Amino acid sequence: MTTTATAPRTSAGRRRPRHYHRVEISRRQRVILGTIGVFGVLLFWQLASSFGILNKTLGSSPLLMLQTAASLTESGVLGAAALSSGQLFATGFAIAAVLGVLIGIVLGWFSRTAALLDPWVSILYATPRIAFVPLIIVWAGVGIQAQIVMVVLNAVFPIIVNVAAGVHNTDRQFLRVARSFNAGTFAVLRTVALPGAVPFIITGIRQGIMMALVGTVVAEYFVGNTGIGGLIFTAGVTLDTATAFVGAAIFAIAALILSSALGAVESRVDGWRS
Amino acid sequence: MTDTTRITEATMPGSSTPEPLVTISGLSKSYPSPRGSAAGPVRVLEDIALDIAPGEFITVIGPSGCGKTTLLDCIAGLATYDSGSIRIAGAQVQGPGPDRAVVFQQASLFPWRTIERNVGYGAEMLGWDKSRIAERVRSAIDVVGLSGYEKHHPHQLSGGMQQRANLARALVMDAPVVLMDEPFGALDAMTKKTMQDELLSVSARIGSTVVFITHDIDEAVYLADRVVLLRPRPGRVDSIYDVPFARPRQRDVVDSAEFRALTSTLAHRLHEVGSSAES
Repeated sequence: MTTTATAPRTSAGRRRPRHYHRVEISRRQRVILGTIGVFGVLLFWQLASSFGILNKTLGSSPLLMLQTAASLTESGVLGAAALSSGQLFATGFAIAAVLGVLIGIVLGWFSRTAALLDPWVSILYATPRIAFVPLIIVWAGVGIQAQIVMVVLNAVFPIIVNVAAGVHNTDRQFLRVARSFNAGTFAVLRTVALPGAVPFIITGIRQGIMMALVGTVVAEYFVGNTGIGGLIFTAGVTLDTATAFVGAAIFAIAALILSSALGAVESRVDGWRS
Repeated sequence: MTDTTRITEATMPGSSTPEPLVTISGLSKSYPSPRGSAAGPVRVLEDIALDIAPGEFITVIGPSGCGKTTLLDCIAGLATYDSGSIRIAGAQVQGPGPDRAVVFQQASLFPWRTIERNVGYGAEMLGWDKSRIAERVRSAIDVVGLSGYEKHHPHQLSGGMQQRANLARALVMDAPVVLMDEPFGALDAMTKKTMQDELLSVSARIGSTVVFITHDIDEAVYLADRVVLLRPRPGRVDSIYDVPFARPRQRDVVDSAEFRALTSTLAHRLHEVGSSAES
């Protein structure tokens, strides 16, 4: 990535203008191009499947997915699976959010506690959480508890790490102001450290949501084959690629919805930054 | 060492020398020596003594490194000191308290709070009930001329307006002592003059005792009943000047020969203590 400031010279010795930056496009253009991108790929996929370039059994097709989704919905399988996954995700994420924010505040605020526990947070955060699955099954069994533990374990670390960073980086001058106005430790946390850490908390929650989704899929693959994850897993084993694709698409849509919902929450609680 | 120049005796109508509200005596503070340096601890304040009468307006001036801000932090209870004492109405200062309010050099308003919730912060921390806070906030905002901006966030206000909010935040609690750390230092000349005049009228109205740090000699003289000049390394009281001009003070006092004489005396002395510390 080395760009020189001087534009290359043509044989005539004149400077030729060159774009060093990406061309700016309007939001509308971006939406249109994005839509074309998505539907272009789907169309290509459908055509490849229709003309027999792609094996229908292995590669499925968008139309086949729509048909499968319709029949799964009609039979009630999809609804029940989505409900089960939704409950697992919501429970696990809620526990992870509460734990993550509380632990994050403690680690961000109390330097000695942080120094004591930081290595463990790093070790656990760095270890692929899926490595703990057999242990969790040994300890928590093969029921919903084990599934929830897996979701929590996946989601909690990014929340801890981000909240701790946010609280730790509290503006020193704001701390002086709060102290001079007789704020006690708890009041300083509530009125200065937490509001100041909101962008970090939102980032942690955003990563936590995505990791909780991963945790949900992992839990459903390895424990009980319930929910949408179980549907995908079973479909894969039986070469039912259309159902597997439908399940994957549902997770993708869930992720997009959750992400934009969080964006809306963010602009509400953090509106002063705009 | 303390060379106290009293030009006139502070006179309070109807009373002889009143009981001081703030009593500072023998105040000393040093910071541990910098890591790896052979020198001993750095003395920042040495044997500071100062009595401040109720309702008095004191300005503190001195070259950089004279410990002005450290002195203010000690009075505010934001910094500890090694020896000596600071008493307010007879009570020893131990940390921040509701009897003192600080106006900071930077406006330091919480960006996530509206102006009215920033102004009410101190009262909120003291646990006042909501209606009392609302009433006091309204009057403080009115006093500093920010009415209509209650629901704005700090970033929507100019630097001068943010400083008004900073001032209002300190006024809300009716603290008997207001400590101000170069609050107008970052303002442009015009805004600064306006703020000085407003501060004079506000402080006259509420009768607070003010300790005001500045490095602007004209400002120090224009605002003060007494100007305290500190000398640096270590920070000590060099001299104290009584300011003889009547209150309410008119802006044109700055053009008087007396004002010029006093500011040039101060400028001269400031230069002396600054350069003697360099050698």
